[in-house]
Amino acid sequence: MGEARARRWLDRHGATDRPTTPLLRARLDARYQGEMLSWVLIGVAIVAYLVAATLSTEPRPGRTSLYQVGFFYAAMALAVIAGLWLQGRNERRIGQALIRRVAHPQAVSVGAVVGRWFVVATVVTVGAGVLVGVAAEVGAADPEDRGVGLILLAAVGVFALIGLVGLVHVVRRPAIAEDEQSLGDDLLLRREDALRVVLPYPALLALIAAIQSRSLTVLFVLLGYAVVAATVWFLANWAATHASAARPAAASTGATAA
Amino acid sequence: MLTITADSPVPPFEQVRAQLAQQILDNKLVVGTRLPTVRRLAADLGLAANTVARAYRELEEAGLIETRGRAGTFVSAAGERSRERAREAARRYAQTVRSLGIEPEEALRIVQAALEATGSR
Repeated sequence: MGEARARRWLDRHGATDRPTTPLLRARLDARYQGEMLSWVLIGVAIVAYLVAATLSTEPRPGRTSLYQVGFFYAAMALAVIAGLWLQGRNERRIGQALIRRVAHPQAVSVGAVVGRWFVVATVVTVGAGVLVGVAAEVGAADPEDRGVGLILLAAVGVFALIGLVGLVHVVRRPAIAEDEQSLGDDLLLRREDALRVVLPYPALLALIAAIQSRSLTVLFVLLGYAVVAATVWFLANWAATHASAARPAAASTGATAA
Repeated sequence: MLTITADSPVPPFEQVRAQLAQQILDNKLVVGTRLPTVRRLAADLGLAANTVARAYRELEEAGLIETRGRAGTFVSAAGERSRERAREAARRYAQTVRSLGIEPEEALRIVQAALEATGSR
């Protein structure tokens, strides 16, 4: 199972001719266990919500409550953090068992881990989300639209905080590597884990909030925000893919972040 | 890349110090490069923070790295200047031995003996 997982991971990173290693298999197994924990926690959150909604006597309108959506995304983000924690714990054990350890001799920045363009996309998503939330809260005439702005503002704050905590955790965790190739793998694994916690969750929330808004202005502002966030993330992804195509993949060459 | 081997007879702090010094002298780590923090490098290599701190301290005493407060630890220009002075002295020595008609092999032996005499003091 671990062999197949490692094989798929290497193939995905263009290292089709590279054999899997016990270290890579162990690390991907650790990540799989972390992801499983995340999914279990998300499942528990969904069941808890459904039970609470069924038991509630409050009359519900036919549309989805923003609170429900906010709760779901917050639970999802927290579940990801819990998964990363379990993964980190397992990886520390793997690292302790290595006889030979290698590390970068230079400091590795957040930009080098996540990718500069993903950092820009995250800052734009959070910054624009705060602006849109404040604008809806202050500028909207309808109290329900102001409520939408407030929820969006709170959601952006929560996601930014969770993203920051997750990012710090991923960037600071020790490198688990025994040679140059596994040091390159470590950077790729770190990047993938970092992107799991800084996805544009607020933009997804804004899309649903847009459906619930009462004024056309708020609707277009929220839709505009979602489109801007989607565009910068698309561009970041394109830039990252373009950059990795321009230089050999770390997984196949063992290249490290300089 | 820095490598630490747990079963090596060389103490871990010396492994870190020697590799960093070599990479700085080989210009693989150029002047101004920021090194990882002591804690970070210790965690990456599975060492105690004191071990890496000792290696950094010795490199700092040798003038190869410098600590700039909270900004971090950087490859020092002082090391580069020292090497440039050493190269200049070597050029002058080479001119002197050539003017004296001393063979290169003997000139190298003289330097070797001088280095050993300096090192044994």
